[in-house]
Amino acid sequence: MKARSVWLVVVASMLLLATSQADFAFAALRSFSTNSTSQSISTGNWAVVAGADQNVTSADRAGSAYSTTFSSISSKPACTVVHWALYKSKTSSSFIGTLKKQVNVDYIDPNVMVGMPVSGSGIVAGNTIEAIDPILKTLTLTIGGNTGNNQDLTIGIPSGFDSSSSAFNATTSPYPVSPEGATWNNSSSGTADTVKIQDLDKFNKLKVGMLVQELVNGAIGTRIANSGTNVIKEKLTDGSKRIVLTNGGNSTLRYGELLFNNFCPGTSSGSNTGRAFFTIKNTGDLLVNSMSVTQTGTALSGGNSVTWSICGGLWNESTGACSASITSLLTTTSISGNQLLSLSLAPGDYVRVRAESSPAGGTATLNISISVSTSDLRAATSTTA
Amino acid sequence: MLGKFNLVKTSWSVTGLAGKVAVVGVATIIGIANVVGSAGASLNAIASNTTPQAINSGTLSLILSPGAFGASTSAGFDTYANKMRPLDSFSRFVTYTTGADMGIASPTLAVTATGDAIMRDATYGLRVWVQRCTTAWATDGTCGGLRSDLFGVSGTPVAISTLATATAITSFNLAASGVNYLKYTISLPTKTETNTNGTISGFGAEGTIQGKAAALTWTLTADQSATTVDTNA
Repeated sequence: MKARSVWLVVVASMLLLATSQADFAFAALRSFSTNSTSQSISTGNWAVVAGADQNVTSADRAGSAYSTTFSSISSKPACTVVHWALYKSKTSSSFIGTLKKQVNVDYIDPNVMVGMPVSGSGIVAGNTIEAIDPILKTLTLTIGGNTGNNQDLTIGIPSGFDSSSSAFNATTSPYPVSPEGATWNNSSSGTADTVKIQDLDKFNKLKVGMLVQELVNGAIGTRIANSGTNVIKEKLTDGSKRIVLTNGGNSTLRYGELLFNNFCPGTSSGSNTGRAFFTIKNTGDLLVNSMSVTQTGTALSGGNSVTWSICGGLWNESTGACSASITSLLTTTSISGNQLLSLSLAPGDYVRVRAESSPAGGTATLNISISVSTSDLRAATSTTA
Repeated sequence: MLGKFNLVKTSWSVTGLAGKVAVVGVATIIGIANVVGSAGASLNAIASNTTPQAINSGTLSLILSPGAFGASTSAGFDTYANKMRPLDSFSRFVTYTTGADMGIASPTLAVTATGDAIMRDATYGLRVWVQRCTTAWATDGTCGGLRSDLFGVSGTPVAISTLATATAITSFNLAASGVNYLKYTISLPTKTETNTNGTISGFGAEGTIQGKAAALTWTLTADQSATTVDTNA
């Protein structure tokens, strides 16, 4: 009995030993390595909205365009006799080719014609306008005189006759035509009975492409072309000088009445421009470099245009004046559609925009919609830290 | 006839149920031997080693630390990456050092991601490219030694969702005291969204990627290297 018990103990012990050895074989060690603090990653938002002031938020817009109303202003000079082709001083100029210069101005009358002479403190009268970009507001000039870097366009370019006087100043006038002593020869020039001939004492910087107008009737003038009968002939074979126009009727152009038409942006004095101020703000938390702008409203109807500008200093929103330099952002017409606005705004930053409509006045409205897409954001970055 | 013998006590240090069972088994054998021995001869011969045979168990360790790149030390996984945009990426360097006692085997990597679902989305979510260098990374993030891709390749990172389960690492220094210099480059894939007057558009069922967040926990697991038999004793 005792021997059997001992044997059982031995067997049990062996089993235990075998079990223990087997367990040892499977007790492999394993190590984990984990960051104790989770790696936090977040993404940004991108949004730019328009609003009344810098407190505008995305929630204020909630997907809707911002609407503003233009107040009527009277910033353009009244037009009586003197008309203006160029409005306000130049902002910059640069040479763009041989004997050509591009001048930026604040305003260009849509009726400025290629070939119209301009004058100013630096650009001599008679420099020919080669091209006009009413959107970018640039004139490309063929330089005929002063080629300095600081050529300027003074406020307004007189057409030749002062608004307060009918006197002609031959000394200071940049007039392309000096019609002193000129009379219309209503007789046939030999070309046609409807042709009028203006004999002039002198031709001064007259350019092909100019418009001339008969003042009394206020009729739209005839463009002087360089072909057909509408030809400026500086000197005929008989030594006389004259303008030949296909201007029918019996109107008589007299001394002091031969004007270079359409130097005025409007046809009457008074207000013809609307103005509004609003804010564009980056309400996201990523830098944006551009945005897409869509504008609608009565401010853009009927061929009107709206121009956005920002001020390098502070706007006087009562007068529209800027304490520093003004930068034009974009000009919009009814057919502009979506426009890309290159404007860099850091998160939370905003700009105050002056919008001016021309020639619309009164209570014109403007609806401003701004979109920011992924492609408008700062460039993607790859950082190491 | 069984002779009396002494079992040399070793310095094995075992833990856990299996170890305890083993100790009980050995003790039982000693008891049996004594019982049998007590029934026999009167002479004893004792032979024992005067110096105890020292046996120590090893420690398996794998230490994670911020990695160096050039003269700088990376913030590792502890830094935030805020306000990312699609196609942004950032790189962090970490170093895994194996303990001196024993090597490792079968390393795997897994990432646990919490937060917004789109950040873990296989198409629009975060992606990672994990590289290993045999030497410390240079200041500009390049590898001066031998570089290998652990997950993803240049220009084609893998979605972190693919690492939701532990995935084997095929290129790793498994030796004891081995050092693995890893570079994690985390990025967002391209995604075009538009915000018009404060309202986001341009996304589908996945939702917008804007204003989202995630928290990642990286777990590198390794087993002890294969057991060895010392045949030189």
